[in-house]
Amino acid sequence: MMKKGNISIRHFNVHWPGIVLICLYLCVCLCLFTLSSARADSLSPNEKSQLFQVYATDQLKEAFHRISLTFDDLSHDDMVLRRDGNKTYLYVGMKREGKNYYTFDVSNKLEPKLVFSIKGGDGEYARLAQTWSRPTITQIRIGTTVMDVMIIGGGYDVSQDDKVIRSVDSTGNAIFIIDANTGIKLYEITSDDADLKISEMQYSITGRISTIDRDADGLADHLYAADLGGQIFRIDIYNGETENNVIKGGLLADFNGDTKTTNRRFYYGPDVTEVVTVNEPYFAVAIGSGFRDGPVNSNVQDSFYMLKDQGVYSKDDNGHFTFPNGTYTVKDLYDATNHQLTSGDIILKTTAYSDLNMLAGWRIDLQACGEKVLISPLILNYQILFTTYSPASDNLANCSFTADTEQAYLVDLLTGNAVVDLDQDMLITRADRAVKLHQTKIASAPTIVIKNLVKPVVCVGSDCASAVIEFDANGNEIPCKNDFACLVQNIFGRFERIQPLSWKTEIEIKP
Amino acid sequence: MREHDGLTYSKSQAATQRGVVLIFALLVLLSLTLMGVASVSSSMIQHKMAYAMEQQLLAFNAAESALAATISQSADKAVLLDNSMIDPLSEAGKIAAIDLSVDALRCFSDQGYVSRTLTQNGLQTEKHHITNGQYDRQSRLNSWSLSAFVQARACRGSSSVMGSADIQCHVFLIRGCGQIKDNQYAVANTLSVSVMTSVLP
Repeated sequence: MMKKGNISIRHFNVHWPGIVLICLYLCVCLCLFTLSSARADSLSPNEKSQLFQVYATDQLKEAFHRISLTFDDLSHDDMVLRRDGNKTYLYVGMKREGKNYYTFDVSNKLEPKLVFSIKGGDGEYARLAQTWSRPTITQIRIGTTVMDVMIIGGGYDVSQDDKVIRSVDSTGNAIFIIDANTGIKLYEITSDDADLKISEMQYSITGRISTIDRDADGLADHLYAADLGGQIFRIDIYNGETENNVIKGGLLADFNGDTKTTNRRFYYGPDVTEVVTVNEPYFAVAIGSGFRDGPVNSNVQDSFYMLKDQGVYSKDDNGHFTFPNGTYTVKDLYDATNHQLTSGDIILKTTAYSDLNMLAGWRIDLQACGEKVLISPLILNYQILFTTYSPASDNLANCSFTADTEQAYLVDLLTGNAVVDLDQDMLITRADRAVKLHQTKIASAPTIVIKNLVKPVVCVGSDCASAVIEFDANGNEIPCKNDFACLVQNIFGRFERIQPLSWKTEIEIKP
Repeated sequence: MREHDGLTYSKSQAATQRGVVLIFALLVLLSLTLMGVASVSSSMIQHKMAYAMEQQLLAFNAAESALAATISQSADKAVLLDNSMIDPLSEAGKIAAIDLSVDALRCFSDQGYVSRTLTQNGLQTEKHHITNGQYDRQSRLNSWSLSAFVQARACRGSSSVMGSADIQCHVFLIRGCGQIKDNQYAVANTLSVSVMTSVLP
C-alpha cells in the first residue's frame, strides 16, 4: 500500500510537467475553438441569425423551456420579430414539438414576457396541426380599422408521414388570420365551416403564407398558399370592406396527379413577383415540390414551377379579382426541362417559344434520382434561385450510387432557361442551370444580404458568394472562385446601386 | 423746245409735274426706314431670346449637374465603404418620408430634406458637398440638390413576398436646382430613383 502510495505520489510528482502541458494544450484547443466559432459568427452573412442570437438570453431560453421549446433547436426561419414603437415581439411556432404558437414581448431582453399563446387542436383552433408555418406579421383594414395580423398556415398533419398517394388531411388544411396583439382568430379559411370556404383546401399547409402588398401601403393585398396536396391557392384581401367581405379566394393550380409518382407536395411557400410586359401583366408564382419528411424518397417525379397568375390584373363584374376557368395543372405549363428555347433546331425552337407564350407558365422536371426542392425559392432581378436535394442513392433501387447532393439552380424567371454559359462550351443548355454546392445537407432558404452597399451577397446555407461581377481597381473583371460564385454573380452582373425611374423638368418660381 | 443737254425744263413742262416721284421716293425711304427699324427691333428681340435661352441653359445645366453630383456621390464607393461618411440618399433614408399627396419637393423651401451644393470646385470624391458657393467662376450660378425618401417597396423583378428576400427598394426623389444669381426663377429637374437596400426585422 505504502509502496503503492509512494509510487502514486512519485508518479503524480514526476508527471506534473506533463499534466501542465496537457492543460495548456486543452486551453489552446479551447481558445482556438472559441476563436473559430467567433470568426464563423462574425463572418456569417446571415445577419438575422445574429440578430436572433441577441435575444437568446438565458431568460428567454428559460421561458422557452417552460413551454417545452428549445431555443437552440429553432432557426431564425422559425421565429419572427416584430417591432412596434418601443416594443419588440417574438412569434414562434413549435415545429414537430407541438401545435401551439407563442408570442413574447422581448422589449427587455432580460425579462421576456409571454403575451399570448395559440393552442392548436382545440376550440377555435381545432384545425391547427403541428405549427410549421412561419408567421407573417402584417396589417389589413377591416372597415375603417387597421388591424395588426399574424397569418399562418394550418400546419402539419402527422398522417402525412406515411401517405404514398395524397389523401385528405383532417387537420392543417387551413389558413388563419389572427389578431397579432391578442391571438384572437379573425378569419379561418378552409374547406368547410369557415369564414371563407374553399372546398379544395383539404391538405396540410405547412409553408409560410406568401403575402403581397402590391401598392406599398403597408396593408396585405394578396396571399399565396401551397399545400401538401400539390395545390396553390390565392386569397385576395379587399381592405376597407366590411368584415364579411374582406377576404375572397380560390384554387389556382393543382400539380398533384393522385398517383405514387405524381404525389408532389409543397412544404414551403412560393415566391412571387410582379411581371409587367407589353401584352400580359401577371404575378409570377415560383415554387418547387419535394417530400421534406421523406428526403430519401425517389418515387416521386418532383418539379419546379413558374405559374403566371393573370387574375390579379383582371376583375369580374363584382369588382373581384378573377381565377382561371379551370384549375391549372402541369399540362398548362410549358415543359422547359430540355431547354429547347435555345435549341439549334429552328423549328423546335420556334415551336417551343410558341408553346411558352400560349401556356400559363413553365416547369422543369428535376432529373437526378430522388431530386427534390425542400425550401422556398428566391426571385431576384427576374431570375429564380433555388436549391434541390438529391439523396445518397446506394440504398435506392433504381439509382446508381451517388452521395447526397445539394445543387443550386439559377434560371430565368420568364423562360426557365439558364442565365449564363457556365461550362463555357459556347452553348447555353440545361447543364448550365445548376451547380453543386459544397454542403451536402439540406440547405436553408436562399437569402440576400447587403452588408456592403455595392456588393450584395447571396447565401444558400453555408455557401455564400457575391451576387455581382466584381472588378479590380483597373476595371478588370475578377474571376469567380468557385462554381456557386460563378453562377450567382450573374444575378445582378454589373451592379448599379441606383436605378433611375423617371425624370422631369420644370421652372420653379421663388416665393 | 426741250434741251436734253442740261437740267433745264420749260415752264410749261414744270407746270405739269405733280411730285409723284417725290412721293414714291418718300415712300421708298419710309419703307426702308420701317424695314430698318423692324430689323433692329427683331435683332434686339432675338438677342433677348438668345440671352434668355443662354440663361435658361446655364440654369438647366446647373440643375442637371446637381442631379448628377448627387447620383455620383451616392454611388461613390469611397463614401459608401467609409463608415464615417454618408451619401446623400442614405442620409435621406434616415429622414421621414415625404408625403407627395400633400407636399412637393421644392428648390426654394427649407423642408428639412438633404441638401447638397455643387460649387466651382466641381464634383470631388470623398466630399460631402455641403459647403455653399457659386457653381461657376463668374459667380453667376447656383447649383444645388435636394433629396427626399418617398417609400419602400418591393424591387422590380425581385421577390414581392413580405419577409422573403430581406431586400427592398427605397424610392427617392432628387431635385436638381439651377438658378442664375438673383433671378426669381430656377430650373428644377426631378429624378425619381430606386435604391436596393437590406431589410432587417
